[in-house]
Amino acid sequence: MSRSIVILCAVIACELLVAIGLVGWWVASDSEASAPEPPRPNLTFLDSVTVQEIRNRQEDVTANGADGADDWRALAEIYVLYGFFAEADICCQRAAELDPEAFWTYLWWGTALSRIGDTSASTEKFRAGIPYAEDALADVCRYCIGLNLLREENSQEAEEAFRTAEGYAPADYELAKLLVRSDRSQEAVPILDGLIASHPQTQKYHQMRSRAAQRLGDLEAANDFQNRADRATQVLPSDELTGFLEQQIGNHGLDVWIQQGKDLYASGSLDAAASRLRQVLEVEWRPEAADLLVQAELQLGHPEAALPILNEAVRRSGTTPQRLVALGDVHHRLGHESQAKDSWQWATELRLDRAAHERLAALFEQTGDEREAARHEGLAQLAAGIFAERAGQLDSAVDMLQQAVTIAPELAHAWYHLGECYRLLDQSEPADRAYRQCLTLDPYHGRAKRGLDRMLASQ
Amino acid sequence: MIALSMLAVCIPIATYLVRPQVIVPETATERVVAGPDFPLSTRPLVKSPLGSPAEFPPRITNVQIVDLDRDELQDVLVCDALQNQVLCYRQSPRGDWTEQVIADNLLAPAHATIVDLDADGDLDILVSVLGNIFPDDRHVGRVVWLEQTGDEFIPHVLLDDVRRVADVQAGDLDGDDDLDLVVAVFGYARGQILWLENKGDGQFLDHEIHYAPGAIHVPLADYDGDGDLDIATVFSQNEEEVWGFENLGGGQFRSRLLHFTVNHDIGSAGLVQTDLDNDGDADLLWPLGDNLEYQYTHSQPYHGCIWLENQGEWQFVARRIANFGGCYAAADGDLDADGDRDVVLVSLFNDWHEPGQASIVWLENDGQQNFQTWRIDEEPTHLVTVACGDLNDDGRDDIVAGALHVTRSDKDLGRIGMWLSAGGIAP
Repeated sequence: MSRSIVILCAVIACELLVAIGLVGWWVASDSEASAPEPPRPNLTFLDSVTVQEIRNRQEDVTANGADGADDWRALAEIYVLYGFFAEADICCQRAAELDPEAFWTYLWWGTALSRIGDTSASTEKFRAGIPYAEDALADVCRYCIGLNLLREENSQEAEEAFRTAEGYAPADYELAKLLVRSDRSQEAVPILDGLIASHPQTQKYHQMRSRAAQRLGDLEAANDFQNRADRATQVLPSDELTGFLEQQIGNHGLDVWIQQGKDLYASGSLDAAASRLRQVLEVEWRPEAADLLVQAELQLGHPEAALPILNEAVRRSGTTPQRLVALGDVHHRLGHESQAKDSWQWATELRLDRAAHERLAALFEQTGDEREAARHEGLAQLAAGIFAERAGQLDSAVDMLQQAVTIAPELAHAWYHLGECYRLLDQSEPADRAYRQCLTLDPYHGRAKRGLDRMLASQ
Repeated sequence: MIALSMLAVCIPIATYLVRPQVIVPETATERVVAGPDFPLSTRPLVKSPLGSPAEFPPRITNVQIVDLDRDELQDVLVCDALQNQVLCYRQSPRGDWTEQVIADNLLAPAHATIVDLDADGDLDILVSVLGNIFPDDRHVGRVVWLEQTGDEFIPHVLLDDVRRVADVQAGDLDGDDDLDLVVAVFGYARGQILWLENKGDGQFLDHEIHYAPGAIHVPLADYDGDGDLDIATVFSQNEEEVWGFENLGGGQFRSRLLHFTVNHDIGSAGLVQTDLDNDGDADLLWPLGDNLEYQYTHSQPYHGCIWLENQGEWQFVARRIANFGGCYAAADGDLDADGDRDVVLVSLFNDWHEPGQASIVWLENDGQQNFQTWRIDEEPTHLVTVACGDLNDDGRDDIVAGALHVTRSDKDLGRIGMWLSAGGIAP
C-alpha cells in the first residue's frame, strides 16, 4: 500500500468520524428543537394577572415538551376563554396528537372552532369527542353539534342532533323550539311540559310553551304561560355553551381576585376584602371591584377612603342609582347632610330605588317633614313589593304593597301591582278593588286595565 | 486511488447535504379572519372627530343627523350612555360645532326620536331609556319626552315601570290625527311591543301588541300600502325574527312573521326602514353581528346586512347585501349623489387585531341593487350607531358614527367620528 493511499484512508476515516459526530449532534439537537413551541398571541389588551397566568401555562407546555397533552389542553382552554381561538385550535391539535382519547380536548377544540365560525370543523371535533365522553357529556357534544347545524341553517340535521341528546334539557328545549317554529307545536307541547315539570322556575320554557299554545290557538293557555314566564325566577344564558364560557372565565386571571374579594366581603372579613379589591384596582379598573370596595370602606367606617373610589367609578363607568346611594352614604357619614340628601334624591330621579327612598324617608323623619317621609316610605315599600312580586313571593309582595298604599294612597303603580298580586293569588275581589283604584288615580294605566279585563274574562 | 480520492471529497459534501433544516420555533400564530378584506373607498371622505375626545371607554348609543334648531344647517343629536345625557352638536356657522346638553339624568339612553309631539311647531325629542346598558331584566326602562320650549327641553316621563326600552317611534296609529307611540321594550329575557294611544295633554294609554324579548327597533311605515302606518320590528335574543304588525284600524294590529332564521347566533342588531330599490314601498335593512353575549368575540361568516325587499302583500324577500364581521348598525344615504340609495355599515366586533379590518364600510349601489363594499375606515373601532345626511351641504350624504366600548380593548378610544364628503358640490 502506497503512503498516499494510507494518508487518504486516514483522511477518510477522520471525515467519517466527524460526519458521524455531526449527524449524531444534529439528530439530538433536531429532536430537541422540533418539540413545537406553543403559539404566543398578542396579550397586550389583557391585565397583567391574566397575562401571567397565560404565560405560566405557556411555560408548562415548553417545560414538559412533547409529552404534556394536559398542558397543551390547559393552554387551549385559557386561549378559548380570552378569545384566542386560532391559537387554541393549534394547542388542541397538539393535545389530540399526544392523547387522542381525551374527551375534554375535543370539547375545547370544538368550542374554539365554533367561535371562529368554522362550524363544520367544530362539529367534526365534537363528534370525535363523543366516543370518549361519559353519557351526559356525550349529550353536550350532540347539543353543540345541533347548535352548529342551526348556525348553518340546517334545521333538519340540527333536529336530528337534538333528538339524539333527548333528556338533556338544553337539547330538548332547542328541539321544542324547532318544532314550534315549523308548525309542529302539538309535538313540542309534551317536551315543553316535561321541561316545565322538571324546571318550574325556568323562564324560557314557559315562554316557549306560551308560544306553542298561541300557535295552537289556545289563547287562555298562552296567557297563562306568559304570566308564568313573566314571574319565573330562573333566567338561563342564551345557550349552554355561552353560559359555560362565562362560568369558566370567572375561574381565571383577575376575576379570581375579584371573587376572592367578594368572598371575603361576604364572610365579614372587610379589611382583607378591601385589601384584595384594592389590589384588583391597582392592576386594572374593574367597576364591580370598585363598587364593592366602596361598600367595604363604608362598613369599615372609612367614608373618606370610599369617596375618591366612588368619584372615579362615576367618572369611568357612569352614574348609577347604586353609586348615588353610596355617595349619599359617604356624605352622610362625613356629616354632609345636604349633599347626602342631594345624592339620594338624584338616585330617585333616575329610577324607583328602594335604598334611596328608605334613606330619604329616614332623613325627612329626622327633620320632622312627615309628609315627605311618608311619601318616600311608600315608594320604598312599592319598590320592595315589585321586587317580591317579580321574584314570585306574592304574599310578601301583598304585605309590602298594602303598606305602600296605606302610607301613600296616591301611588297608582302600587295599586296596580297590588291588583296583579291578588289576581295571581286568585283573590278576585281585592284585585278588582286595587285595579279600579289604580284606574281612578290614572285612567290611562293600560296595564291595570288589561289586568282587570283579563281577570273579568276569566271569571 | 481515484475512488478513495472521490470518497474523501464526497463525505464532507454528503454530510453537508444531509444536515437538518434549521427549525424556527413558532412564536406567533396567524389569526383566522372571518371578515373579508374590503378595498379602500375611492370616494373622498375626510374624517374628523366630533365633540370632546374620550378619556374613558365611551358609550355612545345613538347618533342622528337633524336640523334641530331649524337654521338650515344640519346638527348631530347624540345619546351618551356613559354620561346619561342627550347631546346636540349644533352646527353654526357651517363647520363650527358646539356641544349642548339637551337633557341629563337619563339612565342609559338608547335612542332619540325627533318629532313635534305636541304639534306646537318645534321639534321635541322622545328618548328610549334602557335604565341599564348591561343585561337586566328588571323594570328599569322609561320613555321620556323632551318637550322643546324655546331654548329649553322639559323632560316628561310618558312611560315607566317597564323593562329596558330600546326604541320609541311616533305616528298616528289610530287615525285620530294625533301622534301615538310605539315602544320596543327590549328587556332582556322578557320584553314586549307596546303602542301608546295619545289621549291628549301629554297622556298616553299603553296597549300590548306582542310579548317577546329583544325588540331593538320599531320602524313605522305603510308596509302594505293601504294608507295607514304599520309597525315592523326585529326580535334578537336568539329568536332572530322580523315581525310586522299590520294596522287594522281602531287600534287593532295583526301580527305577521316576516322572516326568521334558525341561526340563533346571527346577531340581529337593528332594523332600518328604507326604500332601497326606490320602487315606492317600504323595505327593511337588517344589520347582523351582535356578539355581546361573549366577553371575547370573533366575527362570524354570517355577520353582515340583509335587505328585506318588500314585494307587497306582506311578502319580504331576504337578500344578503354584505358580509361584514361584527356589523352593528346600518344607515342609508346617497353617498355618491347618483340618485340611488347606498348603505353604510359599522362594526362593533370586527377582528381589530388584524390590519385592514374595517370598522365602517359603505355599499355602493349600482342602481340595480348590486352592491360593492368599500372600506371607509379602520378607526374608531367598536362602532354601534351610524347616520347619513348632508352635513356640509354639498349634495352628497356624509356620515356620523358613534362608539360603545363594553369589552376590553387596546384600541384608541374614539367617541364620535364624522366622515365628510370632499368631492365638491354634486352635479
